[in-house]
Parts: sequence; C-alpha cells; structure tokens
Amino acid sequence: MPLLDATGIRAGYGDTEILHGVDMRVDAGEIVTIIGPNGSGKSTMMKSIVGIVQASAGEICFDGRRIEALRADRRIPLGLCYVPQTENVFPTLTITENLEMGGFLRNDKLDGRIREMFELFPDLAEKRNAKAGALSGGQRQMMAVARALMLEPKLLLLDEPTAGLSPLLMGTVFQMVRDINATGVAILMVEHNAKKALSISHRGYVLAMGEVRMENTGPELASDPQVGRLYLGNE
Amino acid sequence: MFITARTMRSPAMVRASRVVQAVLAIVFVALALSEIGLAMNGIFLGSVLALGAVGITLVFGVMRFANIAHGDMMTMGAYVAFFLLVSVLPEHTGLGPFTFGFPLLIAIPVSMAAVAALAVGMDVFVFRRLRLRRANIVTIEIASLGLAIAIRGFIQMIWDTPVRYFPNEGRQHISLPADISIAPNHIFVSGAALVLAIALHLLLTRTKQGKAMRATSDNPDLARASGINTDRVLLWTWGIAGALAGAAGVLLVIFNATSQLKPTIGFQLLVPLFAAVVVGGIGNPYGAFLGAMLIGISMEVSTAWALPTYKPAIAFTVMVVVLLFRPRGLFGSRG
Repeated sequence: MPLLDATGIRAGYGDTEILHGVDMRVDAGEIVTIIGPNGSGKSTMMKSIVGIVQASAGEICFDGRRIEALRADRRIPLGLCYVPQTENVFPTLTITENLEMGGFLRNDKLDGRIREMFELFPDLAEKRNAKAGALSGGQRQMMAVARALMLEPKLLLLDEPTAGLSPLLMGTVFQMVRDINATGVAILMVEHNAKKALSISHRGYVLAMGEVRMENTGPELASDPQVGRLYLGNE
Repeated sequence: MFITARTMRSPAMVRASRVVQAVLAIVFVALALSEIGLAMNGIFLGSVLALGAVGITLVFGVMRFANIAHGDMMTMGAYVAFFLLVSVLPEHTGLGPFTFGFPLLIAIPVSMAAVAALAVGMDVFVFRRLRLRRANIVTIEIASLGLAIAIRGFIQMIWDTPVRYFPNEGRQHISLPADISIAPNHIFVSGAALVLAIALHLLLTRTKQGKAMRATSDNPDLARASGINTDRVLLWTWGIAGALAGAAGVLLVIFNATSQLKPTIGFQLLVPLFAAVVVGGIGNPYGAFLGAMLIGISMEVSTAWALPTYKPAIAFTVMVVVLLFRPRGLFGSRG
C-alpha cells in the first residue's frame, strides 16, 4: 500500500482551477520529484496534499487514512510535513523558537529533538538565538527543513528546496535530501533543478497544465528526450 | 525592473536623513526635559495608550486588519468596572494615597475578563464568519466600525449618556523637586500597565501559546503547516487584546483627576491609539508600547505651547514625521 495515494485531485484558487484531476503516489522510503513548467500546478499539488489549499474533488489517502477533508493542522500529526518554497521560516522567531514551532504538536522529547536537529545542522546550532529572518539563503533552507523534521514525519514535502541557492549550496541541499531519505523518511519534492533532482529520485512525475503528462523512474525521466526537450532545456 | 525609492537614495541622502533623524530625536528629548512635569504626565498617558495600542497591534498581527471597535471595547471595560463599583462591590474609596478604594482592584480583573469574552464573541459571531466567506478587508473594517457603534449604543442604552464617576475621594498630589507634582493614581496606572506589559512579554516569549501567536502573526500558512491550530490562536489573541482593552478602559478613568467616564472615552482615544500603533510599526507589540510612550509624551508636552484640544493633531503630526523617515514605523517588519 502506498504511503501517499492521491487520486483525481482538482484544486485551485477562487474560481480558477489549477489541477484538473491529478493522480500521484509516494511509497514508503521513496524520493519522488515533480517537475514541470511554471504554472503547471506543482506547488498547488503540494499545498493540496498538506491541506493549505483545499482540494475541490479527489481522494487523498495517507498511511491508510483518508485525509482530504481534514484541516492542515489535523493532517500534520499523521506524519506529513511541508517546507514551502518561500516564506518557509518564522522570521521574527529565533532558530530555537522556529524548531519549537515545528514541534508544536509534540508533547514530549522536544528538547531532545531540537538537540538532534542541531547535531544534523551544526550551522543552525551556532546561531540558535538569532532571528530566522537574519539567516542567509542556504541557512534559511536548512532552518526550514529542520523545522519540518521536528515532528519526525513519514513524508516530507519540499517545494523547490534549492530555489535561489548557489550551485555549491544546491549540492549540499540535495545531499541533505538523500541523508534524510536514508533515515527512512519518504520525500515528495518539487524542483526546478530537474536533472539533478531526478537523478537522486526513485520516481518522478511531469506535470503540465494541471495534469500528469508522464510518470517514470527518476533516471529514466532525466534521460527521456521528450522530457529533456520540453522541460529540461535540452536541444 | 522596479526602481524603488530606497535604491534611488544616494549615500549623501541617507547620511542627511540620519542627521535629520538625530536632530529630531535631540529636539524631542530637549523639549521633554524642558517640561519634565508634562513629560512625566506623558509617560502616564502613554501607559494607558500602550495597553490599547498593544491590543490593536496584536489583532492586526494575526488578522491583518485594524480593529476600529477597540476604543469602544475600552469603554466597555470602564463601564463594567463602573457597574461593579456602584452596584455590586462594597463602597470604599481612598485606598492609601489613591482616590479609589480596594474594590477597584477586583473590578480591574473582572473588566478584563468581561471584555476578553466580548472580544472572543466578536470573533466567533462576526469576524470568523466573514473569514469563512473570504470577505475582503473593506468589509471586515466596516464590520468592525459597526461593532464599535453597536458597543457604544449598548452602553448608552444601559447607562445613558451623562458623565458618570467612579466612587472617588480627593487626594493630595505627591510633590517632587523641580516643582513636579504627581497624582498617586498616575503611579498606579503606570505600575499596572507595566505589570500587564511584562506579563504579555512573558506570555509571548516563554509560553508555547505565546510563541504560536507570534508564529501565526509571522506566517499563518506556515503556522498551519506546522500543526498550529490558527483558529484557536486567533481566539487567544482576541482574548488577550480584549483583556488589555478592559484594563486600559478602567485605568483611563482613574487616570482622569475626577474619575469621570462617558460613552465616548475610548472612541476619542482612537486617533492617538492608531498613531501609536503606526509609529511603533504595525503588528509589533513592543513597537506599539514605545510608540504609545512617544505619542503620550508628545501630546502632553505640546500643551506647554498649544491648546489641549490640539493633542490628537500632535499625535498624528508625530506619526507623519516618523513615517517620513521610517515608512514602516520604528520597529515595523512589513509594509
């Protein structure tokens, strides 16, 4: 049984429908990447899964439970954590307070989990009392991921985790994604840097105009000439 | 590419702006020191303004709208205390050096609880419904104005329009060097405001719920995605803002030499309250506190040269001057 199984998802903003019946699944322990042109509905799909955007139709099953009717704050405790593309930290809160908010639903072991996050991200430990708004782009991305990991999710949703980062930092973030996945956390990722993202993914989806156009393993999608021509900028 | 006002400013202009800001700050301090008695009155007035302004800014932080009913919520706090002092609690005045008696110490927390309940009710029955219907900001502001009028109408219906007075007893002012005299009530008002401000600070920085309030103010979507029940946070925020408004209303009455109250006392304070919120930086409770002090001192010191009726105009002038140099206020993080 897949960890996440979304079928026939329709969603949008106001009267504008962005997703026109998207099917998507993530199995336990997988890295799955969604690629596609701007406006194809990649971020809307992530927001629909996490509940920030309410799907108008379709079913979302997570860990064997239907969740499409639940509010976002009721989905998170089930083991589903989300890192938005932008505005992904609480800027006026300190790094430690950001982590506390990430673990808002934990009633125990909060300090222990914060210590684990500081061990995983030593850069953050050095600045634990600094405001998150003062962090550099790379540190902010680490902060956002660490916040999402506070609840020890089964599935981590990452929306463009390398957006705005230097090539060096991109490599660090992709390595971080692999490291997190190696601990057993499944990852669903939207990524503009598609070649690199697909190369570390077990599977991938190509989304266009609010519909799934292709689905395959990550390496095969990365080497598919049609995908390359249309979405990866290959000649 | 957009060319912003900031990118158009040359280093020389930035330096000039800083010099002007420094000169303005020096002039402000010099004027306050030259009228130290009035400046102290300003700090006392600022204490009352601070409680109101912090409530307005807290609500703005999570709701993104300016609650016009806040002044009338303060009035409701004052009238709840009046009802308790006149009809429920035993008669007593002249507690120590103060004009009021010990029943006021009971009336303050009861008024805070009553106005907190009113504020929560406003959210549950009006603002939440508007949010669910995705009402735009204009609709929400008009609803807030409607509630302001409704609260004032309710007060006038129950207690009528004449000026009323808290039970009080005349007390001597405390004389200090340099011909400064202070009403003991003013010290009580400032002390109470300081205690409430410290309690709020501890709530916001030391408790899980307080941090969730700050997180929701920063980024409501991310707060929801972190598992924070933002609807509950909104209720907490309304409750706290209401409690502060209730306390501010009672303190506003005893701040007055004759402890008088009328149905418009809170509404009349809206201009300096909003000036304090904007000066401090909208959405920032610490900024609102300092903004209230700046506005309070400016209003009181101005009476050395201008008629007291110009005090609201002074408040807005100070606000405009601050915004000219700091468009987001002294501590604002968003436009």
